[in-house]
Amino acid sequence: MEFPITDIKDDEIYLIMALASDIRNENIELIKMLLARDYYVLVITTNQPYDVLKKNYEKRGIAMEKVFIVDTITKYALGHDHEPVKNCRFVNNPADMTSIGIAVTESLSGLKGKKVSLLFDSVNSMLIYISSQNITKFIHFITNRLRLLNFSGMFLAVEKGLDPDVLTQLTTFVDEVVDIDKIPQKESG
Amino acid sequence: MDTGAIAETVRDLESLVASLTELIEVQEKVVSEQSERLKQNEEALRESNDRFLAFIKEAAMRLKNPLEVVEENLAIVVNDIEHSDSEPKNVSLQLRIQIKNLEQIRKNIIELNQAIVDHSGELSEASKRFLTG
Repeated sequence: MEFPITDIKDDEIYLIMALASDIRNENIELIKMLLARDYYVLVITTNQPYDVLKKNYEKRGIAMEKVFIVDTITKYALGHDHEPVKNCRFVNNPADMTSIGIAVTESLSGLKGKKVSLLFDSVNSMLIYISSQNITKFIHFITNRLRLLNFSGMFLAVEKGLDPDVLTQLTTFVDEVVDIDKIPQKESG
Repeated sequence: MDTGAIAETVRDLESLVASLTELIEVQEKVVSEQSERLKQNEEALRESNDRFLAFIKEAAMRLKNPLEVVEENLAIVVNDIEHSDSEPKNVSLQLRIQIKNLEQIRKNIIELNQAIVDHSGELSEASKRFLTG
């Protein structure tokens, strides 16, 4: 199955709504779609650790050369440092928005001048660690950084996991909300 | 009736009017105070209701939805194990993450309960300790 959206615009920001059971697959399909369009991709992961993401990407034929990751969960779960990895920054704690913000800002600055998209996986898993009020502020911060740099962004969320008021706020930060479930899926060969 | 008696009656009536005016003023004051108290109670009730709704909404997002995240993650781990699709160190890491997620969800419950306890004067100390301990 390939990613069902075909008219993604280069520097636009999207809120991608999917079923909880599809989030892992949507992450992979989005990366494949973005790499096929010559993007460099910065993934902020709050749920799947770097080692698992890398393995899943490689298993699905995704080369890691143009994929950069801010991993907010590995170090917290392990309780100690992960061995250094060239294309990944490990943040201490998924609730530490300042450190995540710094890691994202530095990673985006390092990709300045390139065609970049940020993939945030996911709003819902981050809600375990920070309040809806703070996650709204954080996403506002990230979308502002993306707009300043003319970068694209995709925020993955589980459609039934967000309060309508929070969802309304989030939609004001993005250009479009895409509900994957409501798009007819096209089987690839 | 002589003039003196008329004058006395008028004085009595004036005194009665003054007393009634005073009584009306007192009653107006009482009604005004009661109305103000009622308004304050309504406001407090509205605030309490708003807080309760905010609690329910935040609880749904920070408890129900995260539990679904953990459920999905565990289902993925089980699937990976059943299909021998994951290295033991990755399975271990993914399970550690779910433990951390569950720990945080428990902390979120306590935090949300604390917010309720802080605004509720009617709970016993034992109930407060149970909700936030």
